[in-house]
Amino acid sequence: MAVKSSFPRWSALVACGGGASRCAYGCTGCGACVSACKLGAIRLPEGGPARVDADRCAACGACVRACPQGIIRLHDRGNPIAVLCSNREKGALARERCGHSCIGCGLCQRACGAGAIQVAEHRAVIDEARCLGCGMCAVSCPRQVIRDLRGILTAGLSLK
Amino acid sequence: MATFLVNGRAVTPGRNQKLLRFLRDELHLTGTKDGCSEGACGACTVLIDGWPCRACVPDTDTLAGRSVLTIEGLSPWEREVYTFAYAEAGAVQCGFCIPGMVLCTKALLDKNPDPTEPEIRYALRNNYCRCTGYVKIIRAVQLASEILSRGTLPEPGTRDWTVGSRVQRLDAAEKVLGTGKYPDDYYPDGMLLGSALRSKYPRARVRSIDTSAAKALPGVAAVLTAGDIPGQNKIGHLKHDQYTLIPVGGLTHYLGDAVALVAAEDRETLEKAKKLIRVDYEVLPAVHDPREAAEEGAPRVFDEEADNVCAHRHISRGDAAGAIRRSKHVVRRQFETPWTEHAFLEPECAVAFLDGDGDVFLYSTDQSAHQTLHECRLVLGTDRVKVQNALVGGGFGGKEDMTVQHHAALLAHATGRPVKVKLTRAESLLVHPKRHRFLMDFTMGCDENGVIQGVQAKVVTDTGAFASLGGPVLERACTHAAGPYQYENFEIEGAAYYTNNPPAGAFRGFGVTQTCFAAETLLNMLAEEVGITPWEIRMRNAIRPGGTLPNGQIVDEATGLVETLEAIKPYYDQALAAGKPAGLACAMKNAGVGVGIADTGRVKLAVEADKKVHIYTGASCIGQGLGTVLVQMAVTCTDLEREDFVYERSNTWIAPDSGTTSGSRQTLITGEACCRACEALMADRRRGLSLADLAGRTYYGEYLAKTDPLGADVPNPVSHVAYGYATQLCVLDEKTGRVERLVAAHDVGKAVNPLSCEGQIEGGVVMSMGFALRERYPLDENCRPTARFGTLGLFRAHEVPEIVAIVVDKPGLKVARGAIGIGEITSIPTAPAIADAYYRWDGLRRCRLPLDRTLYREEE
Ligand code: SF4
Ligand code: SF4
Ligand code: FES
Ligand code: FES
Repeated sequence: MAVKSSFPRWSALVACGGGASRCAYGCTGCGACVSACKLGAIRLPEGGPARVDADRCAACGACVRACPQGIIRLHDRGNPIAVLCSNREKGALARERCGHSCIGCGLCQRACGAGAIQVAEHRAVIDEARCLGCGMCAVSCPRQVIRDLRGILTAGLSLK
Repeated sequence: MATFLVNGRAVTPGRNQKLLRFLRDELHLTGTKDGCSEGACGACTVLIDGWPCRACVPDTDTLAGRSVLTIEGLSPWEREVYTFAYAEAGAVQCGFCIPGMVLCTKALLDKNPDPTEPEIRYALRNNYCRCTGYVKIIRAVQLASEILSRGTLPEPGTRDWTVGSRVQRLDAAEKVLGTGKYPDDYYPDGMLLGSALRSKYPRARVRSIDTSAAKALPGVAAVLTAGDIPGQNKIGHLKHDQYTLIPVGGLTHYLGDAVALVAAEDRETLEKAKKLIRVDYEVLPAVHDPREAAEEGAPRVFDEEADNVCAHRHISRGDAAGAIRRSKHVVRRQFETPWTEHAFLEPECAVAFLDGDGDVFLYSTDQSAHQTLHECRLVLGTDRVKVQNALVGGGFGGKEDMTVQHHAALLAHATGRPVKVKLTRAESLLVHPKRHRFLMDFTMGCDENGVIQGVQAKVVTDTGAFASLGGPVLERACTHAAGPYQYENFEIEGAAYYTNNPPAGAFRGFGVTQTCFAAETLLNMLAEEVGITPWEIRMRNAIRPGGTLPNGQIVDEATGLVETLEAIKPYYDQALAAGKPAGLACAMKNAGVGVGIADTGRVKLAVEADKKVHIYTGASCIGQGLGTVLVQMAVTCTDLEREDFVYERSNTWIAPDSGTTSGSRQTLITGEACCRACEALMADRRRGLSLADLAGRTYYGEYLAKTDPLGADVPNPVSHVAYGYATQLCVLDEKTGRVERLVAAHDVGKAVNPLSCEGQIEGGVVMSMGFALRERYPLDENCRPTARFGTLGLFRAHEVPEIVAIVVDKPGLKVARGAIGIGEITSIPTAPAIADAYYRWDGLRRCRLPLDRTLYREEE
């Protein structure tokens, strides 16, 4: 059952694109969010990072508080572009630890015509107030870190 | 290679490229506009699997199996609905953003047939429009939603095309559906692409240029340097100090100066060739600031000039110093306003080729085809040039100077082939003249009742790398600095300096935007000292019919400042009663060039074989709706119907020169010429002749707006044939400090089309809200603008407050059916009104723009 739609529509987003990697900052698959969610909106695929079914999410924030890694945040669904990585390790290390980690190369920052991306602590962060949702960063990222959640300009939440 | 659908048809691009390039360059689906190619503007929006996406973002190889819908792929019913809704709402001005807006509308309504206003704003928030302030676009979406749910098209609000009627614009359909052509939409056979190699340093001497490697590159058709210019190198509006190409031995003036021109078969070759040109520079220290430029011994921007002064004005009437000394209350402040980028949605573009007569023919986007003709003739050294205005995707003053036209003409002339020169968005931000940065020192004095006694001011402006219209802008800034008030003692001294910054020139408001901020802020301060409201002090000083302006001009019956103050009053009182911070400002702005300069409107009516009267005038419609205005005037002045008239876009070989679209002059000056041509036509009509009888005849109308030069030795010089007046009000939310509402009352004489007038007001107000609160055009130490289109700070649909546009009709002007232009004044009083509202909010007087310490701006 979909929750009643409010506007603008927010939902929880797990900022990790790898899962089951050796990354210290990503989703460890502990399941705390799954237990915290009263609406059953989160599933934890085998080996993958936790994923939120946005249509069922009420954006109550229970999972955000429950996640021991602190990588779940509430995201405005109107903007389909999001950074799916929470890495804070240097590029070389990040590359070694996960196939879909942000390596802080800055290509996205340069591609963004709105000045909405900063690479801080080795990973890209989008300033939602400035972002135009164009996806230029997403198509420029060599690591599939930034995704179009609609699955149009890039693979969506799931890489498969 | 990927196969996907475009408007239902399977396509497989031969090579990987951006979707936008494929749609435009190969499929020629030119309804998808290219406003930046960097994902920022939204003009290229298409739907992919139903979702709005920018076509300049994805590579075609990533689109396998997708379905792309462009504006051309709308169903016939959707076409009717969106055309009607956008036209009826008055949402279409220059039109460049519109196809993208329409596709966002469709994406929204397909999923949510009955959206709320916040939902509509949200759906449009990623697409920029510089003309409309979004107000009428939002209304168009609501209207489209109503029509789609009803299932039938309503009747238009009016079919009456006389002056004063809110008719739909005549060019709405072609702009909504993307069939109307801007220069970039022309793809003549065998077309080359042209581009300029620009200076690497803002100030350097060019020691040598080696083009041999570039010329040898296969696919390069021509590489030109200054020596290849057949005519004269230096051009410009008044002063000829803008170099077409910097010669060897010459000085560069800014980073936009062109050193060489290249024409090539494709983009890749073009870019490669530019990189192969070797230029040797002697790098010299640059001038960054007008104060620096004024210093003794400062580097000179021009070899040809003795110093860096571009223009100087001193205007004095009465005894300002004495009057201020004797004033009960005196306030003095220093003010600063920044450069502003026009940010029209359509970057500069021109397509040139040799036509059947062997003439160089240009499709151009500019504010005067005849000006383009004149300057291209100088550069080519021949009269055999024709210029045709294509649609113009916004100008706001930024398309008055040559940017690409002369370059395209040169390359077509040299190669004998069609050449398109289009600026990238980054080039556009660098190259065309901006709004001047102003440094101002103003003093104003009043008596115990708040009656202004005198104003004394000094202004310094940065006119950058060439004069452009820096002189006239300074002049208008000075002549209007006194404001729309009745007093006698006024003195102002102004100087415009060359620097190595990007040039500054015309920008909606033409210098008055800047000085008005200073003068109106001081008036608000005086009101406080006297202990009366800003509204009251304006009422006490307002110029009224028959009164004398500080420039000595006696104003006519059409003077409606008081009416605009009265129109604002209920909104002002309501805000005060609700305890909301509210700020006020007034403005006046000339319509027509004035100050003794010959200012002529010319219109030719040609009855053609189709038994219709074709309206030809060399006057550019840059989105303001000139064609509609002229047809409304023609319908009013004749016994003919709307259907009997065809408005022809400006050209140079049939349409007579009617001056530049500048100084809010076209409605008045060309409008009166049109009325006069109609008179000539009516003389024949009254003899009982039908249009069929008249086929082949032409009728000519001309209007010379006569004014006195500045400093003319007459007691009451007529500086301008007409002035528009305005009062604007800004109301803040008392808790958050967010702008909640902007009310703008404008005296337009007689509104030819109130719908268009409102559109001008809304667009102008939102533009100046950007000027007041957020827009930035920073330069680095190399005089390079660091902003991109998406970082300029332009307001977006979800950020725009409620805009109340009040059109005050005050007939009285004897020409043009009483119509006074409104193009510029809409942008003038906004910033001081907003500044005053913030003062009421937190007690801080702000004398710099954009205003600091508001929630619209992060602190630097
Ligand atoms: S382009 Fe990708 S990998 Fe590089 S900084 Fe941006 S998000 Fe990280
Ligand atoms: S989606 Fe576009 S605007 Fe947003 S961060 Fe990415 S590149 Fe910048
Ligand atoms: S052209 Fe694609 S967003 Fe501007
Ligand atoms: S109409 Fe929107 S940019 Fe001109």
